[in-house]
Amino acid sequence: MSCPRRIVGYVVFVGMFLCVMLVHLGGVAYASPSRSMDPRSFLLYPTPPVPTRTPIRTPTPTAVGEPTPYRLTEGGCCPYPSWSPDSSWVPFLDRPGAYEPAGLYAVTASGGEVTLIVERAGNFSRDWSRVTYTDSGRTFVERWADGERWEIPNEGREVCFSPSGQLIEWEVMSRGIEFPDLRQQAIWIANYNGSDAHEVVTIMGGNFVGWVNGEGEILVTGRLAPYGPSGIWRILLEDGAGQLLLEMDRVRSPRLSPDGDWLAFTVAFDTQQERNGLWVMRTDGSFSQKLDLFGAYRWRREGELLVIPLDLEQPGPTLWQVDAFTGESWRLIDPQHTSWQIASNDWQPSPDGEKIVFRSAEDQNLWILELPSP
Amino acid sequence: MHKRSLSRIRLGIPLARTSFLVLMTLVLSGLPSTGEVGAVSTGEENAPFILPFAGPPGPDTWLLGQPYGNTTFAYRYRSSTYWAGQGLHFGLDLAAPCGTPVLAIGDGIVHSVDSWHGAKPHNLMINHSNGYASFYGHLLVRSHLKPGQEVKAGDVIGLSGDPDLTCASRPHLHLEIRDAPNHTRAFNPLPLIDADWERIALIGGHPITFEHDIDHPRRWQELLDQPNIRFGSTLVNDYENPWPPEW
Repeated sequence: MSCPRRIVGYVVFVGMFLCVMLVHLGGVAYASPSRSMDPRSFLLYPTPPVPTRTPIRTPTPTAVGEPTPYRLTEGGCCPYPSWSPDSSWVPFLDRPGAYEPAGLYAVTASGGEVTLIVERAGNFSRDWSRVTYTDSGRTFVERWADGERWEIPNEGREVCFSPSGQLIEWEVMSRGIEFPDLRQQAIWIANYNGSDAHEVVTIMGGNFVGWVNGEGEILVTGRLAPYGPSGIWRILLEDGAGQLLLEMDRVRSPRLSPDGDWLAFTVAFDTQQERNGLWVMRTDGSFSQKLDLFGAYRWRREGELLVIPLDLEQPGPTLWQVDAFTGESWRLIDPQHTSWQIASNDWQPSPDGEKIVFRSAEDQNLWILELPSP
Repeated sequence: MHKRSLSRIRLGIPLARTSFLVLMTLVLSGLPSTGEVGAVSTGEENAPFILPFAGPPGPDTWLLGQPYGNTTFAYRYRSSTYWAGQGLHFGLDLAAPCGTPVLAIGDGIVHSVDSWHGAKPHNLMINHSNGYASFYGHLLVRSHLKPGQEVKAGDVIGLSGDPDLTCASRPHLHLEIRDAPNHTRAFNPLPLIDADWERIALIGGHPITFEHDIDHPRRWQELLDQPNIRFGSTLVNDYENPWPPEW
């Protein structure tokens, strides 16, 4: 599982209560919460929320059978959207007007009214049962259901939940080191309530990537010793022992699959040019390969990587799906029929793998694209 | 399980000595004295400049690194490395292997070679007739050009290098667009360079992130919508409520 902060899944927290508001500002509608409008409803009810408004479809004509994105928001608002666990809600950080609260707003993936759900910036655990945020330079973890919260002894740093939400991770970075290969990060782990906080490992010239093997291990890049090998490491939380999975200098933009079994990453400008490109590997170290495609990537499901190739010759962006094991790829979107542009590489597949949300470069709004099967 | 006390790692290495020198030279050059850049014809030509590299982007050629503006990275170093630029990244970083030929982005006259503007180990400034100047930093070797020499768009003005002098750790070109002739302000190069930046930004597994002011979360969150910079002026992103939080 990738850390939410890596994905920049910004969320905001309002404590125990959903905001009851009914205002209209800049074309964005705010509604009273109801069962169908409560983003927590998926925790209580198995059925997804009922859409309250017909999605705004793009007017651009497309070929028959070509997936067409539809717009979720108006007015331009919503960098770094994420998803609710059941793929029914898209939350994002916003403040729609000077007289509106800043916080996490959400809209159903089928379109509808935008609802303020929480009034802080923070990150949810994967199941949305807990949320973490900072307040006056202090970090808290709060149980969303009843508002009970715990202060984390990390001097106000952002934390990352483990897949179950039982553990949290944060980094203590070195200061004053300009040379990136010498920068150090101490990785700290604690229980979600801040107890048993301890440093697991210090890495040099690398980063925390995410959790693997459930709660038992983490994945990091860089070096564990000043003159030791650089690459991708599995770190055992129990004793900080590291296993080098792949020796590779300066792994870029590593992205874990939803269950942590796969990693995608980029290598560029290596003197061994055959290494340069987009790679996938099993996080147990048993398999890795460089793909034929290169560009932006996200995991659709375990072993299924979505890639938007970096190809400026095409009239529009295209989307491919790659089988990480076989390397076989399928084009999901025909660039001849894509008139939309993604802003700042800001797009996220839904947890069910059925669609992506992206921020449009044209209007800075959120759009949904339902993904076809290969 | 070994446990250590929670404290920041401090190795005592001076922070961004080069940036300090850059700042001091900028300040001493009297930057905000006149302040205005009346000669800059912003908006008249949508994108008057070309890319500084000849070939297409890719893992062997060049890639978008840190964009201009209110990046999360710049926010973290707003009081040190980026202090001179009001806390913002005052240029555009394009990652490229050492030795990649760097092109003049427009017609102009070479203003200075290896001046006090920083961006070690070598740099070059070109004044353009449209009121802008282009600055090329972290060049591998001293440029073959001389001050006063005329250049045309697309001419090779130097070779891309690495600020760490390793050609391995972070080789890149640092490109700034400033006002000419004062060089006291910086502008977002992206809208001024004719390229499909949103497509070029589609690299890697994560979005490009800009720091949020939670009180104004929509501000400065787009590649093409970033504030101009007046060197040496106060920080514009010293947020009371930032997101992500301090690190």
